[in-house]
Amino acid sequence: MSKGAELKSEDLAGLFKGLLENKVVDCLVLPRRAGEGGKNVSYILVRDASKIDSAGAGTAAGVSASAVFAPSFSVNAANILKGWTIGEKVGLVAKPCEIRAAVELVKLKQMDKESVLLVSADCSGAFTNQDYAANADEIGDWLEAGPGGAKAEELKGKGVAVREACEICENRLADEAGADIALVRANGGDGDGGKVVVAGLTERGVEALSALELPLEEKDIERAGEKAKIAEAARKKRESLPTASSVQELEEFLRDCIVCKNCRDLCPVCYCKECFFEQPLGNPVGGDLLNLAALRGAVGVPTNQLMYHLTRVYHVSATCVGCGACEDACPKDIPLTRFYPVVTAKVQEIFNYTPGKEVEEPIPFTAYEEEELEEKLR
Amino acid sequence: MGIAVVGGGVAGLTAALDLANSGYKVCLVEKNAELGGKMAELAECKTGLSPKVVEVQNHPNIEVLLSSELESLSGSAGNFKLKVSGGASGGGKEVEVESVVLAPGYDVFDEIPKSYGFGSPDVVPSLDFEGILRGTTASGTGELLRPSDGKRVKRIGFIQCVGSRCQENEICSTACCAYTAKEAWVVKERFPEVEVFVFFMDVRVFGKDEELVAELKEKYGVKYIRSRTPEVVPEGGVLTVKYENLEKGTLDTLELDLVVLAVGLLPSKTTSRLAEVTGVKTDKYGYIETSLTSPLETSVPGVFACGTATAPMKVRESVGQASGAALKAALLSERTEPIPGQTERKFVEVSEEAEPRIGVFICGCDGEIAETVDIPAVVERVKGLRGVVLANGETKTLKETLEAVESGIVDEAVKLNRVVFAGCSPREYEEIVRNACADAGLNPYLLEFVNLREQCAWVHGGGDGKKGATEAAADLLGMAVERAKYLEAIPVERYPVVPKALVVGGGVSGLNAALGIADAGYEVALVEKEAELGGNLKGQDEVTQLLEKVKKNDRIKVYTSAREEAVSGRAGSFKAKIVAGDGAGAGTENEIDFGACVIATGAREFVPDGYLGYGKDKSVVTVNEFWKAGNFNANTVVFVQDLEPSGKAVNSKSASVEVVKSALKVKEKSPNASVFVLYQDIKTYGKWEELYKEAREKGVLFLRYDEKRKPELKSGAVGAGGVLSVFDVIFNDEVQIKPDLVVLAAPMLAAEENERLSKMFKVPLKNGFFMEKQERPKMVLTPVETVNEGVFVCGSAVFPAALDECLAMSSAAAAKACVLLAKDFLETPAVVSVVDEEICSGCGMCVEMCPVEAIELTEEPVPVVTYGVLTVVGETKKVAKVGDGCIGCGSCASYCPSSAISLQHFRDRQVYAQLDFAV
Repeated sequence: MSKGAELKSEDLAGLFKGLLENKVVDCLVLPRRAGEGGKNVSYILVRDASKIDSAGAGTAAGVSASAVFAPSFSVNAANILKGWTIGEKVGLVAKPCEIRAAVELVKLKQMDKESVLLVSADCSGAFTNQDYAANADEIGDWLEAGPGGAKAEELKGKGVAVREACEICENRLADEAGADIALVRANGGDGDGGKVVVAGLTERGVEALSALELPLEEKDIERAGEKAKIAEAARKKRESLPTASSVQELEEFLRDCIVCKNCRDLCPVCYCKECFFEQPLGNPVGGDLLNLAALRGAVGVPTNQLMYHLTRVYHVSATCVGCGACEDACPKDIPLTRFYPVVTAKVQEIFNYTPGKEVEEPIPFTAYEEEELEEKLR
Repeated sequence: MGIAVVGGGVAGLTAALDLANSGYKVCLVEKNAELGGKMAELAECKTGLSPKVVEVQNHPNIEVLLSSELESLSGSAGNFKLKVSGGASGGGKEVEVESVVLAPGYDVFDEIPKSYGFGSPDVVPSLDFEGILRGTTASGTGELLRPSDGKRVKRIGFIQCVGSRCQENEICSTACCAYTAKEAWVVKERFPEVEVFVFFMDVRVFGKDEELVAELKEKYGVKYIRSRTPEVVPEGGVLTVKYENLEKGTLDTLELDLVVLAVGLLPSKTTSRLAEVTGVKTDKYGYIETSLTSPLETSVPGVFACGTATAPMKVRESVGQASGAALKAALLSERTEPIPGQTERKFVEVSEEAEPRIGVFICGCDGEIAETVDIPAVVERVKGLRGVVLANGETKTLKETLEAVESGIVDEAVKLNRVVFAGCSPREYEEIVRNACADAGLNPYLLEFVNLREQCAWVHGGGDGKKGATEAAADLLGMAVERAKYLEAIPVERYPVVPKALVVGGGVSGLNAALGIADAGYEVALVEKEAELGGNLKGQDEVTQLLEKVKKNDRIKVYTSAREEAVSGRAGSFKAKIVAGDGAGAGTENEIDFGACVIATGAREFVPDGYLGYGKDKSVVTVNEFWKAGNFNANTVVFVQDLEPSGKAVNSKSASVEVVKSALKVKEKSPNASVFVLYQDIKTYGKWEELYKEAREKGVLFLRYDEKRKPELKSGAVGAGGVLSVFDVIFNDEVQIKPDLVVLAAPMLAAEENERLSKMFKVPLKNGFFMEKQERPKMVLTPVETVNEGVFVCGSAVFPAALDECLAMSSAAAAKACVLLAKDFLETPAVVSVVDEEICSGCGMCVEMCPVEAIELTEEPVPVVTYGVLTVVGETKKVAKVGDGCIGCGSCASYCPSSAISLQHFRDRQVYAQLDFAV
């Protein structure tokens, strides 16, 4: 049970305004609808509460429940706040995978725990933002029955597919991320007349809601049965994906990669100030490149195609939240979801670790004890 | 003058090196033509003992007299004259010394009865089996084969107590149970499919060995069979072992392919002669006589004894005694010689841009590498590599190779600025080669070491392996050459050694260590957590005497009710705060500097509350309480030992000894008393075996209870008609006793403060006790040393032991501390992590991963920044900083995703270069 309150979905914008007006946060990153007919969903950073009104709160275009729950994915919003180690307090309203990435960044000290208030909203699985914008009318404000459901299948038939990352996501309900506040879609939370339960998941979350003088009461947002069903379907889907069983197959899979490193730049948990692959050793040029060629006789260019992805998958093996931003970012349309989230899930399974689910849970590498190895091997 | 060390086995070598490395002149007398003694025959000696031999042979402060024997000793402590016969010239030699250390070692029992099937080639004594084990490596056959017909061994049996605990040799040889376990472990590790059986009476292993035996039984499936002296009948290609199974009371047989006899130890035959010559007393078994309270002193002042010449013991204890004896002997002598490595070294400047000029040297390793590797072919291949200006594969010994290295660096025509050295294990030899480079003027970290023996020759083996071995050797060298190109000249800086020691714990071990160090001339801070010094044995004569000496010694500063805080620094230069708790000067803080630290926290009895009424009933006491009460009159006394240690408690090494001693005390007071000892294994090791024998003769009844059925109180209370029920395994029946008194051998728990000290001093714990640097099943050649250089552990802080062992080991710790303190300077470690602050993202993962807490995340506030109308406050910049404690393990570097933190000498670029050659 969590402390929370039921709101009408049109009051959601008011809730966000309240957070700013009551100085719970100094600024807020949240999704809004934009573009022609509000078909495009993207993020804004708001400092002035009145801008939420002018952004058309509650209207088709602007800050609304239909923006918050929209099955559209543009960037992983945690990426926007990477490096937020300043005193100003920021609130982030986003999907569970984005919030989970933010939680990992807090653990990695790339975001100050005291400076962020995390608000996660239920997700039904998403389309890329361009797919969504092009088919917004047909998709609607929420993908009923999620990936694999009748609606999703019907759309797939028309060539409009849910992102694969979302199909294999096991944690897409609001309270499955280590957020402070959950926005649970109750009785169809999007358009007018819908209901949203807003619940405090942490002490800070409850405090924030109390500051807004919401009538808080015990709310049951557990939904164990639904979570189990989602996880089961996602796992099945993940296991049905094609795998590479040799280095050669993996090389084949990555054949088109141009090592643009866009997947790294858009990855919320790739946090290095200077990536190894920007350094001379990871990105040999000039004499270094020539040296390498002298040693090996010949060397493929651009270099480190395989090495780059193997290194990156190792670096994010514990922290990858499986949001699929890497695949969206790839200009060569390599289905990277079949690599990053799938491989890292196996590592996370060994350590029984779900990144971003619990802010106090240490990243496995730091808590790992030598004796555990044998235990795991057994 | 100086100090004479007699015996060039592991104990003699250790004593000689400890002395020579602290600036004393040493004369080492060895009767054989080679150094190494018995240990050189053990399968694993190659990686442990031979570096010591090399160091002794090349030590400027040690004169080695081989094929020599002590002829006479005259004079007295501080002024001895020795006559030594033999030697290279055969003419003998006269030596003047201030003190003498005797380390003549042991001989093995050699009158093995026919009943063991001895004579059959498939029945071998343990030392011979070490030779067979050595032959099972890849350079040999790679198989465990029967000596008789060369067939693969499928079933092997070890028989313990051959020539010990018997009529011919009454005492227990102490080492056999443990070395048998080690051999069984080696067999199982290498050949898991071989079935292994061990026939034993009692398993007398302690501490780490106890864990090893438990692991052998549970994990490796070795079958330990409790039996009386088995008979071995070799017939028709099989060995049939007939034995009385003491678990079942049946006569059983077992067919085996190979039988190993764990033969006992006897004093060396030279011991009696040495005793004659030097006048030291021997005991009735022929060992040099020492006592419980002075385990290293002989009957002749100025003559000290150590190792298996004083009693049968294992390598660890021998080595410990040797260090201890060295310390005692040093106190009578003067430091007259310079300590190697103390002169400041200057190196030729090698800039990063300088064209690499690499010299490759392959040390013949006395033929061991040449046996499997075609060295000339490798040299040909290496010569063709870019950057290599010299490749030499013609040197046969280490000495020759080192000379070639030095001339390659000095020679103006060659002028090497990188060296690749290929030979045996770098673990012990890399330092020697580094020093040779440094002496010639090359920064020692411009050396790359390749292990061609363990990592090539031994792996590929002889015969058909030669081609593969040669290929691999060329590849390994090519990789090394690539890596050498990117090696950096790491600046070597010197820092002064603080000639003071910190001793933690004021029990018998701490007191003895403090005295040893203070007597050697260094200041000591002795810190005790209680209000008074003395520890567990406070009140006993030995402790009172030690306390007197400590009180009188003005080099020792005592802090009571005190504890250490904020320990920092590294070997030779530590800092700590000593906080006095209650009592006088409460709360005062003292900042102290010290160069070395000895941890001697001791152990405490674990009180088994409630067991048999302990805690409520005054008639149930622990052994300690039994002696303290001093009331030995009772009609029926029951001793219970091997109580299941719960939690982290362990059974003390001397538990059985104390029990049997106590039982005899009761018998002495009232010979008619009924005395029972309930036990699992009677571990009266070494000469204590005679107490066990005496106790049986005097009618003490020893009952072994069922492992799963602890003795229990059936009714009432002890001393009030209560009946104790024991399930005796030999009678296979219940025995009922109505005791007046029950005495429990309480297991021991580690000191509570160990947890705190472990973190502060960076020495890991096991079951709460401090871990030495080397741990079983490896052979322990460095007792009292820890992974944190400069921090030593001894006494019951390592494992609860008897008084003599605590005294010997604390002397050893003091000796090792003194070796360190004798130096004026130490060099800063080079293989440590460094941070590129520009790249560091400040995630702090390295801080979490560092096993010795040497990294901290520093936070620097970034000044207030104004962006137009907006003022952003409170941003911080986080950067990792590596402190003095870094041990160079590389955990941090292996994680850091952006390589912001890296390990010097193992930089990514260096490792990549090596790999690039390989792929």
